[in-house]
Amino acid sequence: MAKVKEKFDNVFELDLGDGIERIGTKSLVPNKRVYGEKLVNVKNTEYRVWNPNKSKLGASIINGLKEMPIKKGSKVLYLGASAGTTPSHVADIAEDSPVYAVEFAPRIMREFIESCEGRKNLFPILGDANKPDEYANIVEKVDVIFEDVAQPNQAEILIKNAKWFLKEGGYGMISIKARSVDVTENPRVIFEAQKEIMEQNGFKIVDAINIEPFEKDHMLFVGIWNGQ
Amino acid sequence: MLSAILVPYGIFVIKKDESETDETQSIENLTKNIVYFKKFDEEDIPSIMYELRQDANEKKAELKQALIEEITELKNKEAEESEESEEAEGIEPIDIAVEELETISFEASKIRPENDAMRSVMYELGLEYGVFEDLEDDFLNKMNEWTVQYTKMMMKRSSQAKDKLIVQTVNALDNLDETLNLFSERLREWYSLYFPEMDNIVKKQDAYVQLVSEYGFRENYTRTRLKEEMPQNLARTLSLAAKKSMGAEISEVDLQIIKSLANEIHNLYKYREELQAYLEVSMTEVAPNLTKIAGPSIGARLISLAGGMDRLSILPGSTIQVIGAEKALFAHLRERADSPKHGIIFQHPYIQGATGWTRGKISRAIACKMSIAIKADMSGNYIADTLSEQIDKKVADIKVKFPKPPVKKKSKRPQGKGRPSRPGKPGAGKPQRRDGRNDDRRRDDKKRDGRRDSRVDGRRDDRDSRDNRGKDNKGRRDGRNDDRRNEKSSKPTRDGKSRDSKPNNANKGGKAGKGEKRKVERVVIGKTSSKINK
Repeated sequence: MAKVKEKFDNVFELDLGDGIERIGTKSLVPNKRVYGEKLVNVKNTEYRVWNPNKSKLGASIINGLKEMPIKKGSKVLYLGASAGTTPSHVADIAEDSPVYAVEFAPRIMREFIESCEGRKNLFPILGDANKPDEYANIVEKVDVIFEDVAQPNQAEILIKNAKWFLKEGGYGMISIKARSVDVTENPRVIFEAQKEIMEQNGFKIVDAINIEPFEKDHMLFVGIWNGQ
Repeated sequence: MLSAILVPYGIFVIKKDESETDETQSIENLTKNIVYFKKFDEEDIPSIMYELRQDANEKKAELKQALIEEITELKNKEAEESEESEEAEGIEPIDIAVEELETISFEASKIRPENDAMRSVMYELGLEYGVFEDLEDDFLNKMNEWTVQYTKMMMKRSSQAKDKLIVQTVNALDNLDETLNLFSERLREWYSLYFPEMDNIVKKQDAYVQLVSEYGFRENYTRTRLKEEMPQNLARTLSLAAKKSMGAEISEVDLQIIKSLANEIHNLYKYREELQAYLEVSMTEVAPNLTKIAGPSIGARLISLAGGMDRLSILPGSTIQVIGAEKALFAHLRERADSPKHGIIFQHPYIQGATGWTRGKISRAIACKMSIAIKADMSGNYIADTLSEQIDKKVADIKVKFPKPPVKKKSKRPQGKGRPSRPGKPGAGKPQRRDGRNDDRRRDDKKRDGRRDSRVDGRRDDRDSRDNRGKDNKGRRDGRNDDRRNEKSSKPTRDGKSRDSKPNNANKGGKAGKGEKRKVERVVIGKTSSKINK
């Protein structure tokens, strides 16, 4: 029989008895899969298994994230929602608090919008994370900004959005893909440079997780925003 | 000072004291200073969001106008009522002077403290002003519905966009060309069992196909009948060949099945023409400037490769110049290969007709104008006539300025770098390339390329050991380039072509159709020549 242990707020460790470390979230929309994930039923609660291979946030939790900024009741701005794999879990965690999910590409939005229609607290916004003013009249001040956009100017995008939407003392989480910043440079150098950019612009980096082996040359930074 | 703040469900008008500095603009002050609230109709909210995204300035002006009218009307009513009875009943007076209304600022594209403060209590205020019943279910449900609707509208627009249709059309054309080549080759092989001589006499694919589907049996290839469709001498050769053919005899049934294949191919050719015509019409409609300067085919391809008009419109001229030559470009950036002069814009008649040493300059001039043209298309201006005049002038200037190939420098590399000069044969390629046999020569080119590879391999090995170049493909690419340079001295005309088209083809494995660019042009060029033949 499966065992469940709460790891962070609304994030659960699932032990299915096969020795594999699994995490999951309580499904807000029971009996519905978002990306073909496994559904586990324990004591009348349905959990969706969080696949670390498909979600960088999931991978960093497995790789030892110290503290999870996204909690029950957190307002979240999610940049780079893609097909909604991670946002669906984030929405599960936030439970009855809004998750504003910005995605740029209409093609992938087509898939994302389907999972939004069931998840009431997930708000899809088709927009460019580079231009926060485009959705400034929709998004409120949030507790956490999570960014996964794979752009060369990732860190700047996070800072820009933090200025618009992040509460003072709120968290910025960014998954840096070294390969999209510069293909030729050593990833470690890039991570240092990106970290520096964030620290100079008002983030205090509190956690950095390498998400090897789930993704290559990826690093997840967690920073606290201290205003300007 | 009045400022209007947009939230998804309405507009708050805030009166800001001049004395208040930005620092004192706290949330309490903000809510205290709200002098008016206009609630949007809930059904309209998604479309308001949508219109704000489409053209923020226009929509804001519209909203501002509506807001002013609404408040003025209310103020008038207020004034009337206060005349009738001393005390206005029930209605709270609006603390706005009518004169002030015009000065409402609708700025939302930068971070202002009042907007910032508003963002912290955006939805709490909604609760206070009766938009939401509670901040859990009702707020989430409504917001979810609005944003989903809004995003759907945005998607509808982006999938409705005509440029996406153009991209699909271009891809369909490429697929079609691939299929047509494949089937035409098959038909040739097949029909050659019966009438092998025709393979060499009729080179043009669609003419061949038409002949097979119309004539069929060799006996039908009479001179009188053929004369109506093609030049006399060709008709004579063909009818003679038909009489003396060494092909095997086949039955009616055998021939019938070949003829049906020919019919199908013929229909596909017709469909291809239809597609081409459609592409031209829709390109003139969607991107008139670009179409005028680049022609429908190149224009559509540029849009397709860039992934849409909006993407193409933000590209600089230098990028447009090398779109479609990515492999050569990256070889240039990574190793010391020569930079590509042109990508798919190579098909532009000016560039095709240019001499080797001016080709890069002309490509750059044209690419820059294309970049301007597509920007004008996005904003809806028609400036193509001026642009094409400028291109004509620029190209003429370049031709005057560089009449002769530059003197070849002694290069450090043994085989010489680049292909700047062709001493002894300036412009030799020009007349040859224009003639109708273009496609055949290109086909030869390809075959020769294959042979070249095997030759290069041997050479590459010793180069590798000397230069200590690591990767296999790197070495090979280099080797191939160098080799081509060698050959160039004897066959100058082919060089630019093979260099730019070949690596591309290889590069494009993933994206269907891109590699077929050449073939399309081949068919088009061939078509004109076949008309001449007929």
